[in-house]
Amino acid sequence: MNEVFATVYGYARALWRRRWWAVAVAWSVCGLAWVIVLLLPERYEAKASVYVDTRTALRPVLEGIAIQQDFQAQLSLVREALLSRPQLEAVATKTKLYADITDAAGKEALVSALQKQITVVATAAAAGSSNTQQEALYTISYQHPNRDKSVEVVRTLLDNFVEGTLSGNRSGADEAQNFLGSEIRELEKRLADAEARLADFKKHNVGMLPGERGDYFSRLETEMNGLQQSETNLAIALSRREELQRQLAVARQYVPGTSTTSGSGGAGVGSDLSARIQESEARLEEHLLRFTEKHPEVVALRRTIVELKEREAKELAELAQGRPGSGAIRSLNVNPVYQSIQVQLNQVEVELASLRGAVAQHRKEMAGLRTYVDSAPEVEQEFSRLNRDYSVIKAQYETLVGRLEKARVTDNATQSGIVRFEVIEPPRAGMAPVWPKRSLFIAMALFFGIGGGIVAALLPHFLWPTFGDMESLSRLTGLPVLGAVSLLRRPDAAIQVRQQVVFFAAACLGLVVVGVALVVFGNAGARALQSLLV
Amino acid sequence: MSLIERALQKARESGDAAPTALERASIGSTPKPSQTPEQHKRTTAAVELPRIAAAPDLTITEAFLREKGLRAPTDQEQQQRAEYRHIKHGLFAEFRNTEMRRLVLVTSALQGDGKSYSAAHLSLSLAVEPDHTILLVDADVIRPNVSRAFGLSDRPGLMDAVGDESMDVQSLIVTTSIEGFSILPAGRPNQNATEYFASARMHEVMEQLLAVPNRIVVVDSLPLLLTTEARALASLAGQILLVVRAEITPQSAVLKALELLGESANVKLLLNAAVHTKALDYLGLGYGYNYYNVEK
Repeated sequence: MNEVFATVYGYARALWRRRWWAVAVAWSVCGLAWVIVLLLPERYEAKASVYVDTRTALRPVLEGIAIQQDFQAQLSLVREALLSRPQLEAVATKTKLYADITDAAGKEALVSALQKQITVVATAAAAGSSNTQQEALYTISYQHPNRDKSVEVVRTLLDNFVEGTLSGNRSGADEAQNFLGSEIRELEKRLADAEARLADFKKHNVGMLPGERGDYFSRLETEMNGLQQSETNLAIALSRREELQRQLAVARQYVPGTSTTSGSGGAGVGSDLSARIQESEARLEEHLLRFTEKHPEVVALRRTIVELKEREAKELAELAQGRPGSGAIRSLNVNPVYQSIQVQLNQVEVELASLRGAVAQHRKEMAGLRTYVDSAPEVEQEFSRLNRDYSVIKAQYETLVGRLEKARVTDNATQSGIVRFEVIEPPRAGMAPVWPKRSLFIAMALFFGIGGGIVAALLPHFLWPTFGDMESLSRLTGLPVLGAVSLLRRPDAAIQVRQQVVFFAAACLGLVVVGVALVVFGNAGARALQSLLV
Repeated sequence: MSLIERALQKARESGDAAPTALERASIGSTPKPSQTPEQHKRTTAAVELPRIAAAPDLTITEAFLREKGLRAPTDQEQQQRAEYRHIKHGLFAEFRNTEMRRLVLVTSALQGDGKSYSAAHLSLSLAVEPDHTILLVDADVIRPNVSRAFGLSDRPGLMDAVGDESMDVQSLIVTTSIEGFSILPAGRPNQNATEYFASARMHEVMEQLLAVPNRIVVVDSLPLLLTTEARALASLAGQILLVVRAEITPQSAVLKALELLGESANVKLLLNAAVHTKALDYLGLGYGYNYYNVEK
């Protein structure tokens, strides 16, 4: 323990011996350090925090529908891009950081400095379950001597950041949408052309088109069957007409008037004429049984019949012309059988006409088909090609329209919140400079100054030690020490020592007081000093 | 009144009286009570010195000493005296061995450690011893502080004796008014002085000085590390007293000096100008001889 005391006492004495060295060193170190600290330019720090959440309710809904983007990778990319040279150059230009620098080397140096000085720190808030972290807190910070400028830089950066992330989609999305839109418009045009061509084709080849009418050969077959059918019907109709005509020729047009004539027009036609004709014909038949044709009575009868018939015909004609009034007419009634036959005949005539028309039609069709026998397959080819083109274009069109819709939905989803940006802290800078912490530096300078002084005083004691007492002398040399002779004190030693102590204390205290004053008034002093020198 | 003062008084009173103790010292020694005349004869066989004038060459008074800076302030006088006494006793312990050469070489590692001061004070302290006489030799020819301090700068001394073989060194000794205390000055500086220190002549001179019985020779020499002479003298010494100045002499210098002296040398240390404060006394680190401070 005594040794400890002795050692400590030795230090104290060594320090006292070189106290003025200590004071000088302390004052020099402190003075220099304080001047430097006071002259340090201030830096204000502006910070902004952005909270990015890519985990919202929309995601599962839009899964598969909207294009899922890897926002995390994107944000990292954005951060890299944010601190890229072009970006920073833009920021530097916008915030006028280039103020005095005009040469390229200087500008480049400034941008390099910015790259180092601007920090974008991402802290992940929580780890997502499926893929990487889905939430992140991004803090952009920057320091600059001018407070407003620092805020401006951070604000610009923040805007770039948000803008870059959103419109790193949105511009992509916009571009995609624009591209899709232009493609769609072109396709629409082509589609319209194809439609027109198809319609044109259809118009020109109206009978030839497949579809409702089947292809060529089946159509031909149909026509042939139709023709056959119509011809058959025609033949039937013709034979009917023949039959009817034959029946008509045989049947008597008029019959003697009976009470059945109800006043119908044509029913009262020359009944006595037709009676006389009938009479004559009955006599003729009778004669023919006995005599031959050459018999004069027979011939006379024949002549009479003819005359009568001519008269009847004349009367009928007149009747038919609407010249009534001939007496013979009133007495004749048209034969109903004759009438029905006539009607049927008319019908058949009509039918014949239509059948003929049908036959003609079929024939024409067949002729038409046959003329196109060579070109029908080509036409069909052409038609199917046009159709195919049309359907291809249409399919493309529909795909693109679908994509455009999808992209639009994605965009809307983005805007409505697949990525949620929340500016936690808008760009703000503290009112006080963040660096230098003058008080701290000044205190540290004081501490180091005092320390330095002590070291300066004690260093020789350690580097070139001496003997302070007999014990150490004896110990270190291993030889006996006969004794020690005290250092003589002057008579006024006590006063001298006291004086020295006072001076020394004053010097130390002065240093501390100045230090404390600077700690308190550091910033004001700094400004004063800087305004003096700058 | 201290012994010295009494001696001085006596000297003043005696004038041309019978040889005082000082004279006896310069002439030779008187037989000790315990010794037979034969024994005494034997010890003083070496040299018969011519009688020297009874009057001392140098008058040393308190005022003289004080003027020369060889006295401590009154309040510390006791302390210093006690301290040198303490050291003296340490030396004497060796001298009980009669084979030991009674030559104490006072040296130090570097300049300004207090060799001359220590040598002078030791000599003055030793001079009080009744059984011995002291010869203080100033061997520091380059800076003859002792000679200067006692005002003997222009007197012939050691160097002259060493330089001139015919010279009798005993005749150069300066007697003082202090009984049993005489001084051999350094002498006139000589170009080749440093060469002589290792010479046989120096040996011879020292032998002659030592031949006087019961004489202790205290030699104030040169710094060990700064010169080569001290080392040469070291071989002649019975004891070497290495003076170390507290808080000034670097440890390395002391250790190097000791190395120079070698293992076989009989070295003792003296801590000069040591710190002494009341605080140290309280801590038990001091050595205050306050017991002597008796209020009268």
